[in-house]
Amino acid sequence: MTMLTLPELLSEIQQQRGDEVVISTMTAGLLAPFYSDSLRDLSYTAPMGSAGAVGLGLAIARPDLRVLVIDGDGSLLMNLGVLVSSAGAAPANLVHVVCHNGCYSITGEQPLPGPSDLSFSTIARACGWKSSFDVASKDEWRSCLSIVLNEDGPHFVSAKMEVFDKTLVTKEMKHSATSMSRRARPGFRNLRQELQSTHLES
Amino acid sequence: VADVGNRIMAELAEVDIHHLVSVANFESAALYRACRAEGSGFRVVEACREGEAVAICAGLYLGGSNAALIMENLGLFECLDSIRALLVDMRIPILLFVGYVGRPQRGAAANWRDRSAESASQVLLAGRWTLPALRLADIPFFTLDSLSPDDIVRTAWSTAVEREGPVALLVENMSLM
Repeated sequence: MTMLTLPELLSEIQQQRGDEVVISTMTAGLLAPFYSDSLRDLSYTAPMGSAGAVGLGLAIARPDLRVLVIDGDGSLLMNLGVLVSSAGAAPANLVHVVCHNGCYSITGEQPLPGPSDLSFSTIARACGWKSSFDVASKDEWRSCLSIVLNEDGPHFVSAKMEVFDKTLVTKEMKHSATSMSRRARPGFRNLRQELQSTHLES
Repeated sequence: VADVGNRIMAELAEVDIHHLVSVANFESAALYRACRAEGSGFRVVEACREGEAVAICAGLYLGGSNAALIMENLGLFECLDSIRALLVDMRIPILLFVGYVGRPQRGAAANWRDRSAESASQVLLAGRWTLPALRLADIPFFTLDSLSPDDIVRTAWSTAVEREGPVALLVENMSLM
């Protein structure tokens, strides 16, 4: 079995998504703008560990929208309590995906603390998430994504994957208009504006 | 106690705040209880840690909902980076009810008097750090106590909206108001 890669994970989201909001962070946040041109994207990298909680807040505020969080494993470890908070609030429209590559990819691939066989899905299950999946290949991710995008959650997915070679993301890519419009402050403002307009229409 | 919590909750509702994010705290317990009561019209979200609570507030704002956060000043120190990166840099207006543990000029606050000298010292240190931390983060602050004007919540929220950022209400103890 060939292990899942970050580009494959992002590409498959683009294939299957409809009007879901996608919040991506860390290395996934750097790469996401090159796989999606949706106005419903938000990519940011600070503060580390906050994407799951931002997604939780948004899912509570807008139960009419499905919110997909693409988190890093190091990030999630910085705020592991969010798995408990999300399970407690239990918004049916929340999907939290952790890219599990075993290292802090964005800061130079330092290994994560703890055992190499750490199971985020087991932790999520113990916290009380409605469903908790493990995927490690492109096919498994494709099948899992079709479930979590269409059935009530909250859903948690641990996606075991290879470490992404960040040198493939060039400075020009990072500073492209598309990337900048999705990232940090403009990303927040653009997404809020986009969601407000759809709120008014509905 | 319930009256104070209900009064502040009503003031929050008047400025269109209907979400309360809570991390363990003593000083704003009356507001927490009022918002948790059935039929309050509030959604309470419990968070495990203050930085997480700040991010939940940011997500609520992203979805068009204003939020208030209750925590202690001890938690304020924990979440300064989240406040910096999310609330200040993203320009998100939020009301922060910050328990003012160890408020200067009050000694070790009344509810801490029976603690050991070591505990009292820790409390006073937290009190001394509070205003410098808020000033460092450029967060405007008001004091919420029995001497506060009736429209303090509205004033604080207007400031948050005008500045597009967080504003703190320092709470010594709602149960003493």
